[in-house]
Amino acid sequence: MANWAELPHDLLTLIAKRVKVIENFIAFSAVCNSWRTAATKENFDAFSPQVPLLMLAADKDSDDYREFYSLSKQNVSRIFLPEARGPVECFPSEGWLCAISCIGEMKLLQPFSRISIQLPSLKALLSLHGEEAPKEGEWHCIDKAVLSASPSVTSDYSLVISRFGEGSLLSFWRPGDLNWTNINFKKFDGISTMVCCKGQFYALTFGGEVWVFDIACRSISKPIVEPRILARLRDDDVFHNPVHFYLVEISDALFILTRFLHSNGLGCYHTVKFNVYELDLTKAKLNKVSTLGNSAICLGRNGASSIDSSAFTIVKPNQIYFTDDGVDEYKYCEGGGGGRDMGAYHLDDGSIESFYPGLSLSPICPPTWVKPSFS
Amino acid sequence: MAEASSSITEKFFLTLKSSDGDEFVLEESIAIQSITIKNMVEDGCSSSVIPLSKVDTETLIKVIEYMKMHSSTSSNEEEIENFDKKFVSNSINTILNILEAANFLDINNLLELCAEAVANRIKNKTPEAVRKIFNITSDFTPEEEAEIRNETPWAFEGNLDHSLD
Repeated sequence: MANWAELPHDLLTLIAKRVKVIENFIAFSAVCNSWRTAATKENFDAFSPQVPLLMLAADKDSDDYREFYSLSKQNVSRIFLPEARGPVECFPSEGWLCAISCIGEMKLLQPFSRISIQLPSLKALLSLHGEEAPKEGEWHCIDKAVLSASPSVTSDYSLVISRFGEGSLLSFWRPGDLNWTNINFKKFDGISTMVCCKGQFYALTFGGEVWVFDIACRSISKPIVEPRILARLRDDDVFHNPVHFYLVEISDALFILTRFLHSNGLGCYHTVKFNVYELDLTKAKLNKVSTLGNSAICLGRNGASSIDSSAFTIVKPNQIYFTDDGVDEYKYCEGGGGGRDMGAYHLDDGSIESFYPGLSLSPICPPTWVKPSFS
Repeated sequence: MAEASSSITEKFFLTLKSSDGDEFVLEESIAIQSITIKNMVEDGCSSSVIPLSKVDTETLIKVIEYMKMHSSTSSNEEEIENFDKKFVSNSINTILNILEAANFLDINNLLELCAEAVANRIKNKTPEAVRKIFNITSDFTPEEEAEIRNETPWAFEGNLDHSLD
């Protein structure tokens, strides 16, 4: 009589390839030996959407482990990750972290496999713009770090860094580059949000300009990167408000989210509202939308990403899962740093519920979303 | 016109024989969804009974039901969708038999439907629950088991579905 453990390898592979949620795929691989041999990394669709894990703030500076909270399992796991020990600022992108240590060492780190890729230093980055290296432990001189693709799936990717100097300054790095390369772009109103969508980087300035640029593959040794302006959005009611902006791709279209904070002026603040706009580049305008359809959005300091909620039971459609990104407030905050302003915002009725039962605070790297992937 | 109508009425039939010895007569145009059968027809083996030694009667009935639904010009998309939904709710042992039959008969759509059904059954389950559902005994040593869990602790602990539905 036939039995599931003795199913031919190609049939088990066929089934394994249908398992798109990483936790399920890992459970599949933990059933028995024959199933394990079918559930190899190669048979997993690295591009399938996943519910991100919430990487919590470092517990103590000496801890070699980092805690991750799973929305679907509603529990915390400790993961051995000495690379992120101590005060390290982390920018998640494409399932990797751009990590900056207190002495300005920079690397790309895959937290689940602990693979790391050395980057040129922060000092080198700052000296591109004629600036001195920051003193040890001077944080938050980088604003965004965005990858064009996951280094797990390709070696042809680029990392773009946005930082505030005299206005926003952009630099990039590609595998094999010995140093950062400056992008000739200086916006005094500053870049509020940046996203990479199909190999193109899109940046929105606080004044409502949408810029686009791409970075040539690494076979071109000194690429010229020329950001082009795509649209000047003139929605004054949107861009004259002190809000946080997020560019996000949903089903091949670009959207802008605005986040409104209520602050008591004493370092206490919380999110009160989100608005969502579809970006119409041809007419250079924003169309407010009242629903995200089946999509949910996870967002934080380094940006936002959308997930199709129908693939997951735990993620609810039309909700925005936000983490604390009030960096200008929390870096001076005496109460332990950022991490309080987190929740799931319901776009239909404006209510906010908590998704993390604990309190995890850091002035350097508060809780942030990281897409899970293989060890 | 007369020619066209005659080609519609002219049907070829095949006889399929299950491993239990039961015979089923089926229109050739339906049966050749199975690439294995199609190849046999093309090789001229269709005049006699086609023996399917790896498919028992119960499974063959299900497979024929599936092929009829998926070849019929009268069934619309909604009907097919509903049929597929009901089809995959068969017991996991039946799905196993159908999966193996679909593999042997080389019916790609049916194979994919079954693979999807299995993938759906393991959603949010612990490895223990999956073993119970599929009646599998773990052949890992305790050390291997511990190592697997250690690799990806975030995928194992916590609020998982232990039910066997």
